[in-house]
Amino acid sequence: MTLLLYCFFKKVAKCALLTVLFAQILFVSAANAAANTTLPSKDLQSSFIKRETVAKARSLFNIKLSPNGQHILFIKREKQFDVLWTQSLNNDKQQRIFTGNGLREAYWSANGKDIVVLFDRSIALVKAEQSQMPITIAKLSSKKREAFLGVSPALGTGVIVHRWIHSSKHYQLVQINDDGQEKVLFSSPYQILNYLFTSPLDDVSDTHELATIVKPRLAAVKVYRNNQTEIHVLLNNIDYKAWAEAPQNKQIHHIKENALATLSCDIGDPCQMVSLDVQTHRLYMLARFEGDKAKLHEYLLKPSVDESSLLTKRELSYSQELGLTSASRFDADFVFTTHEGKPSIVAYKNEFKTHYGLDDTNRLRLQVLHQYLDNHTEYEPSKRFIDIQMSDNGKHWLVFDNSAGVVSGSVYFLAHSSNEPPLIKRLSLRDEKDRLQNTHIGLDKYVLNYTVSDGMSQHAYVTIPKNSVPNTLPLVVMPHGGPWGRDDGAKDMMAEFIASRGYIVLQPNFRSSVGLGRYYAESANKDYGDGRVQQDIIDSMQYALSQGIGDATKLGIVGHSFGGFSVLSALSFTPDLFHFGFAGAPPSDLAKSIQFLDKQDYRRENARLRLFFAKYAADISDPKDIARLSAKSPDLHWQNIKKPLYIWAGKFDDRVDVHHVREYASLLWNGEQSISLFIDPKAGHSPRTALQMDAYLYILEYSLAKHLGGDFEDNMSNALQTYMKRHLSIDENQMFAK
Amino acid sequence: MLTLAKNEFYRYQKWAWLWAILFLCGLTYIGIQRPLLAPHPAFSAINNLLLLGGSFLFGLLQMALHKRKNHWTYLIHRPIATQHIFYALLLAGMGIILVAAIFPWLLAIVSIDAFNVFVVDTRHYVYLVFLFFSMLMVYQIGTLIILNASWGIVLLASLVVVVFAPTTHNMFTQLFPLIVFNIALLYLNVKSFKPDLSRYLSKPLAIGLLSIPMSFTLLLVLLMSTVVSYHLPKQIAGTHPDSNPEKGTLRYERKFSSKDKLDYFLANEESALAKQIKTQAKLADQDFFYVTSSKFPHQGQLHVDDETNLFIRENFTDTQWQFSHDHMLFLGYHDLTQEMIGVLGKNQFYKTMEEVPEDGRFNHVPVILKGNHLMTSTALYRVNIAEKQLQLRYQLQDNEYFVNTYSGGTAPSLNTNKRTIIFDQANFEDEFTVLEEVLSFPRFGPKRNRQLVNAFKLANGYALYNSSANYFGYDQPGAQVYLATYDGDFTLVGERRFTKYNHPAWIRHFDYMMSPSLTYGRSALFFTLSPETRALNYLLDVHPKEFGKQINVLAAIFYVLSLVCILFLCRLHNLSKAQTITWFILVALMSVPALLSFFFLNPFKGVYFKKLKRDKVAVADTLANQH
Repeated sequence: MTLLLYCFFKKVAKCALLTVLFAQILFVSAANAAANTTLPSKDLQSSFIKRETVAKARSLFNIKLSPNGQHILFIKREKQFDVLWTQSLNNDKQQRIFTGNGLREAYWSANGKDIVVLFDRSIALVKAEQSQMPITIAKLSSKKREAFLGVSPALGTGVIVHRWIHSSKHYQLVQINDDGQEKVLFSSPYQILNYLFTSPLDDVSDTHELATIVKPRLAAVKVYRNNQTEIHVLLNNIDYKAWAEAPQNKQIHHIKENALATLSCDIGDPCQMVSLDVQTHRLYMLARFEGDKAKLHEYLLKPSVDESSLLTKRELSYSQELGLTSASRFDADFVFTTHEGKPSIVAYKNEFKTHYGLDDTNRLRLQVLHQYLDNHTEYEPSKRFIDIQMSDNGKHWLVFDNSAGVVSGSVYFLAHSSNEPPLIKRLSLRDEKDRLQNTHIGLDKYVLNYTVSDGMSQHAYVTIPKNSVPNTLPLVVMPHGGPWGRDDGAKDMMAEFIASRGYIVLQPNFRSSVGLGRYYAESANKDYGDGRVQQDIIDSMQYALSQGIGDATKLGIVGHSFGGFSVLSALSFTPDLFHFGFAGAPPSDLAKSIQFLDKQDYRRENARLRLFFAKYAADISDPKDIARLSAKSPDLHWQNIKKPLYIWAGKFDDRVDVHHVREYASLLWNGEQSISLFIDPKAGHSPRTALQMDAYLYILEYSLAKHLGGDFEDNMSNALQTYMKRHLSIDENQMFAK
Repeated sequence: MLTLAKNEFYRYQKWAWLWAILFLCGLTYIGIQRPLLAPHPAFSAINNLLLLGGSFLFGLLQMALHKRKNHWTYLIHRPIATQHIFYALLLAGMGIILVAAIFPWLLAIVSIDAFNVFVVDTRHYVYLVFLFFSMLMVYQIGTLIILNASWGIVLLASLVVVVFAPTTHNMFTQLFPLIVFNIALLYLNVKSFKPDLSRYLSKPLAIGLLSIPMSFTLLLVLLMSTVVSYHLPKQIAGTHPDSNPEKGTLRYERKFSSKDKLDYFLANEESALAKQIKTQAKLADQDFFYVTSSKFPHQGQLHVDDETNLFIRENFTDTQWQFSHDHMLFLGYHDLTQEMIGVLGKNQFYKTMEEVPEDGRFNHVPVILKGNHLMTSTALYRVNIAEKQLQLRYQLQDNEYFVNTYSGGTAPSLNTNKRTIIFDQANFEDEFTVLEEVLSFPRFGPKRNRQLVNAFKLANGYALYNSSANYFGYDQPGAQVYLATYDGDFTLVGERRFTKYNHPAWIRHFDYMMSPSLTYGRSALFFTLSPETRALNYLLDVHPKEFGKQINVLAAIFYVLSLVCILFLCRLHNLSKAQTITWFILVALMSVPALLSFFFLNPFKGVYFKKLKRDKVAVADTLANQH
């Protein structure tokens, strides 16, 4: 299932995984010191992360390994341009491919010779050679709801696009090749969510003829139909020669007419098509189906006359096979496959992240990797959080070490060989100046496992300055957004930003968090606001305090989106507990927010959204359900708030109505409560530009420092001062002296 | 003389005062609607029409009333010298102009100066001088039409165009032509003011002064004659080349949609890049950038020439900031209290004018862009009145200067003497970011008359094209396509030179054929008065050979024929030696138009008609004798 409301903090953290730099020494410019701030600056720790570091975090992104494992590509932001680079993994030579404006993503083409570049509304191809001219092959029409779905495995160079045909009320899966020629692969009256091609067969055939015949073909599609996600397997037989002889137009399928078999998943199921191994006639799925946890499933495709028995299923539970109990608490996160489509490694995002090799070769390769990292990193191996990319043959790996407390942007290259010892090296993608700032930041991340008040086992992450006395530091609770998201064991830029100022940051995975199984998410039982979910958050904090983590007299709560909602809930329903709250883009009434989202026609997924919300939050067609959720939201209980509240909102927020935020803040203001409201005139749901982020972080750290007494970077650029003064609509907390 | 002048003045003064009061009421009404000294172009046009048209009609009326038979005899027999009589009438006319137009304007400007926050500079008072001389000029044209024997004097009305059309750079070029024209008209009026008004002027100087401006107008008339002889018949027949362009001509590009134009321009290009660009253009978003040169305001220019916004308003504090040409500073006033609240120099805000150091004043008159940017010829500033902040956002270096102000297009673009600079819209609007150019490319295309560069936004930059009938030189149509990348590369993708033309050469170069010197002279005059004037400037770069042999031969034939004709006509009119030499020189200088002006400046009666009558009598006598 696609998560529609995802956590802002997670998003920032993901970006930060690759790119964030940490400052060793903070330089405070006396010239820029804000004369009118009311807080004195303190001597800052060497681990202090400057706002500027966070604001400019995403300067290098989209690192991708080529299919042959010989090169990587990445996008580097230079001034206002996005520059596409490649780097040879043999000699580390970098090539500037071209400079563009507004590059979103880049992918290697299936043959590895070209690069597919995504812009806002167009797709271009460029040769992976120095100073090449990118060729636009398609413009994406928003009217036709066109969206890039992926690179076509069937063509050396080509892409797959999703399209809505208004005249026939059909969706299409379209393949576009390098000269812009289009071919409709599949059409359906139901929304097409994803697709799966067969694995290529050139490795399995000794005959040249067969190898050329058997190219990857469209094998399955994922559609949204009848309030559920369905996988339609389109292969009408496994006779590849017959495929090749089939007329081209037969490849345009319609559901019910040509689908071989259908698998159904409910709305809360990730239901990912992993691969289709044409040698063994097996379809691999990462899904829950009737179970609680998302696991790797294997289906045997049996060509048969009897349609009812075409598909037989055998569930594979690799966690049991490997005897790892930890993984059983979590959903499987990702499955790597061989070139032939056979699963090779399963990744679990458990408390941190674990990869399980499914065969001896990959188990050995993982062992080699971990041994290397054990010897070359300082953190505890059990807290390792790595992401891997593989070449087509599975021998070349790109490894991103995103563990907490690790130098940001640590990328390794592994070349496995059957004859020689593996080559492992760390890649240098940034220039010297950037790398000098990549110093150890002196923070640590722990997992807390505990039982909440109704007996459910949960866990939370604690980020804490190293060598500190935990029970003397202020504790900042930071619930994630969504709420259908989760915190994980990876480096979290926002948590580290706060912790580097001398706080302990607690990030609980309260119920409704995803990645922990169906029951975990559904057990929230739509009980938001003054209810079970909020109680989980409070319980996690109480547990942390009981373990000597944090000073019980110095508590604060901060969060964005649903995290902001949780902040408002905390100040409304536990008004004496926290010293202050900082809420970014907070919905004050979850029911109103869902209705607002429904009106936005967000991603044109209204039907799916409604179904999702009806199951997990409130049914907007049911006034009683809406009233129930509203009654528990902090909107109606604003009078309870006693402690200072800081709210950040984006004027162009398409998920949380800024008018609601303003009305809520006005109520507090009229009630003479301590409220500060900053409405960013150009931001959406989250701050985007460096200045917007600077303002966001300034309010955050100001509120932390004022009420909990941590370190504070008080220097403000002239631009930030002007921006803050101009858009701080309500300033009852006196951020700027009157 | 003064008595006569007084009497003449008294004769019209009631009407003049009535006009003045009505005009003052009109100015007051307009002034309520918007600042009178920051006029809307429509108001300026009406003002000119009323005042110049009124002066012209007054000149006509005044002299027409005196020209009546008995009145003329009465006037001309005054016991003073004839020319003094005219001086008296002229003085009276000037008095009427002063009362009817200059007085209300003076009153309005003084009132604004004294009682309004609007900053009144010396230039606003200089406008009164300009207005007076302009009105005097058209008044004198009006009197000359009545006094001179030739009705062809009407053709001198084109002088008004010379005065008003060009955009001048300084007060000298603004007032000098006016003063010269007024002196010339005074001379012609004095010479025309004589007892026998039917006699044509015969002095060489008078002939020259009348013939030269008349020839300029006649050249235009000749050019317009091609409408009748060529354009109209072809339009009626439905074969006009503009509507039916032939393949291979530049005009044929109109047959293509904007996205397909590159196919036409790059039709002969076989390079891989050209092929790519042709394909890419079809998928690209289309932009365009204005590259026209425009005039920056100069210090002390007339307020009627102000083309850009004068004020920076700050509604939150009810303040208004206006640039003072006298002080070269922005002066800020409170709308309600009318108190000065500050001064803005080129570096910062000041509380009072006394605080401003000498180098704190602007060196050039800045242009206000979008209400929050100031632009001088070398720098762009962002101004925040409410917070008293002035931020330098962009500075040109190394003898580079802007040649036009912000000119829109699909993305903000600024043009310098060397290149066109493109900015990102959001970056340009965002005062909190450093303004950085997205891309810049050298100015390309025809040396003059650059107006628009069409662009296709590609993944790595822009494909740019420009086309013009004079792209590769005068009358050498063509188009070029360039690729400008974000990396700074500027590559010629391809070009096309068009050798086919839409119209025959004799139509395209008709004016040159009729008078090479006037065609060049017209360009030179307009260029001198206004270097940015688009029309015809390219001619200054043209060598005569570029008109082609055929046209040069035809021009020579017309030239020789004109000289032969003028000698013949001079003999026919029995002109004196001095007159004959004068006309020969004029035709030698200006060819056909000067020849045509001869007909307007010499009598018909008694030359052609008398001769015709004599021929008819001779024929009748012959017939009678035969019978």
